[in-house]
Amino acid sequence: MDFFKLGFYVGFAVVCIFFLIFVAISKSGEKAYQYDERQQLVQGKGFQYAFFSLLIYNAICILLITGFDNLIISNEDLIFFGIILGVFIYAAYCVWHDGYFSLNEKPKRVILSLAFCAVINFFAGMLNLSQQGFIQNGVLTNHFISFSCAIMLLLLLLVIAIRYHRKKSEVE
Amino acid sequence: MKNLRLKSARAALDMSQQDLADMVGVSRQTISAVEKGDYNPTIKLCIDICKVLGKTLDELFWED
Repeated sequence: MDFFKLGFYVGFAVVCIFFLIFVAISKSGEKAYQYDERQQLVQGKGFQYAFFSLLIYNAICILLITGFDNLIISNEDLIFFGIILGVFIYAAYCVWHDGYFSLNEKPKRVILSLAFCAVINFFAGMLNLSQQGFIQNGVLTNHFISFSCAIMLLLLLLVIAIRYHRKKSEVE
Repeated sequence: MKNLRLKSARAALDMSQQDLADMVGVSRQTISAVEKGDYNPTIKLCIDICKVLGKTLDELFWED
């Protein structure tokens, strides 16, 4: 197993552990995240759009994989792009319809954590680019995954910023 | 359809959307959506809003 794969699995395990801790904290006591009925409805619709987008994306991937012998994107990338697409559609829809931030949540903290994750992924992507490059033998490899995560997070931050400015201009 | 009766009842009590939202436990955007007619609230939220504004369901939500 090379260092990239080892780093990938360790990183994956760390993210899973942090996620479980986050879920445990968020479900307990005053820290519990509360969404009102409209926000829950928005989240349900967001899940729906993300789910169907992922279905369509997977169908396209199957067609591409079976139809073409020499794809310029690795299978790992194709799978991961699907996850990124689903997450982005869900999050962007919820942000756009004000269902992303809970009633007792400080958006600033979430935005800072998203920006932090984007920066980490960006530098990890740059490190991969400088050490191994994104393309090997004419194929986009899994070294591009961190960079694509950074792009997705930056796009999400952009959606949040646009939404914030639109809200500011709303007349009560 | 816009709910102008809700908006005027809120304004009569000199309450902002945020004030009303805090009192009924929803986000400001939800109150805004109800007033604009973009969202149909559940009966529970309607009752909560009526209690805070001192109005009946008919006065705020019944459409002739």
